[in-house]
Amino acid sequence: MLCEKCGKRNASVMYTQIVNGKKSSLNLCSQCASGESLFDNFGSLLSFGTRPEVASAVCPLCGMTLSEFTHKGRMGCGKCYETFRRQAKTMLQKIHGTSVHTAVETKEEVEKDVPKKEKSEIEILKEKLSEAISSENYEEAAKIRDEIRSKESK
Amino acid sequence: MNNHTNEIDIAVSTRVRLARNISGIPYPRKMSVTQAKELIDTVWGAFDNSPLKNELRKIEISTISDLEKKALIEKHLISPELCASKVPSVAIISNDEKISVMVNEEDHLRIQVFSDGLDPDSAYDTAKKIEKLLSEKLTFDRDSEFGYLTSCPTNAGTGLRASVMLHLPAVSTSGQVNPLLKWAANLGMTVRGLYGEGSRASGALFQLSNQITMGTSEEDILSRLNAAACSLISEERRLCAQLFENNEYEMKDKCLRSLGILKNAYMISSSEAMNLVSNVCMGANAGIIKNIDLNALRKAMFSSMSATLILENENITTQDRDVKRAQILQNALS
Repeated sequence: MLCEKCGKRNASVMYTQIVNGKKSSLNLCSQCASGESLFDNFGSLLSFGTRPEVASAVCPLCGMTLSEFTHKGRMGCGKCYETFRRQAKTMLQKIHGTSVHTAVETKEEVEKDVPKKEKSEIEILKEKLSEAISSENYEEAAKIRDEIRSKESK
Repeated sequence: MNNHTNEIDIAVSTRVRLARNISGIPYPRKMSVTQAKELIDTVWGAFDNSPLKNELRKIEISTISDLEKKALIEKHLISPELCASKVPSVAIISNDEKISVMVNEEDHLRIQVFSDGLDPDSAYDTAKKIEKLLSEKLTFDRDSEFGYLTSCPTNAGTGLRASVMLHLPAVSTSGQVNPLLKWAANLGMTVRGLYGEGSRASGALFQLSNQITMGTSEEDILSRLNAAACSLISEERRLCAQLFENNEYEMKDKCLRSLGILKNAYMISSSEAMNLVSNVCMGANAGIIKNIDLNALRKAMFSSMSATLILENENITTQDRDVKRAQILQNALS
């Protein structure tokens, strides 16, 4: 059987996920499984089953596609940084030698920045999500995912 | 201003630019015309209750001529990207031309502040005040890990680009430009020509700016820029002294002759003006030429650039332009 992601090499790994009692699986070659692990980021977990091709990921806010981003090297909106987070990290690392911004912010700025507080809550949930996935607790993962979705849509 | 305040004999001007984007709206390349117009209104409205408002004018890029655009680009008040924006774009510029807020350039906001000589701190303070004022009406895109988000990832983190325009005739004459580029790169700095990326260094004018905007604080960026500029300034002084020591008569003659031409010529082209002003500045730096306001002379040089002159004097011919330029420069020297 051919890999369902690249469609070129033979599939040697099967990924299985259960969300809300629904089981879905993907047959991948070892290269796709290691390089583009479906469970390595939040975006691809959400798209699992419905959009297995990471390369066709589209930013929900501005419609930027991954290929457009890698071609132009520009983001279409702030949401792109979330949609293409892994690629953005790699790019930032190459440009600045780091992808973590550590500037000291004044207390006043942090208190004022309401959206940031909301985001950090989501960040915590995302961490919990990765933990749940790595311990293969997919039912718990699905719950956390739904919670993140509802917080993000607020 | 004294020629030694803020190293003004070598450092021409400082520019600080903060790139900011508004949460939840696609960046100018992806935003709709309606979103672009709404953003312009919000930004302009944010100045309503500020005493700054009386000093600001809003320039809608689509309503001005190509010549007006060129003149504003010559003065670094707007960028070619702002003119090329697919959606409505504006520049909010202060009367003294020290502040320019570009709306809907590559990023939603580009807050630019200029100061004379080497003075990144005061330019940054002003930029920060404007940012604070705008943040009362707008929420900026910021990520807990990446910092401020920008269209091009090269600006993400602080969104801060600080640059100093340096006049380095001795460094150029001594063929030290390439080692200088390498040295700057090692310090996380970039050296470019007068008009930014890809432009050549005309009149021995160079722009030194920070390359890295992420993983470092604003204060650190400014102090590094200051330190790098100071090393370049002392290198320029050292090489200048060396030039005068090794070729005393030729150098003195070159500087004084340039001053003579500036004071007496009837016509001066813009490239000649740049070279002459460069020589006079070098002479002033070496102590050969005294009692000259270098800041005023350089300002005269920039304000007599071609597009600015044509704009102020409709249907002016090339020859008339050169005559006008000679007059402007002589006024600055008198």
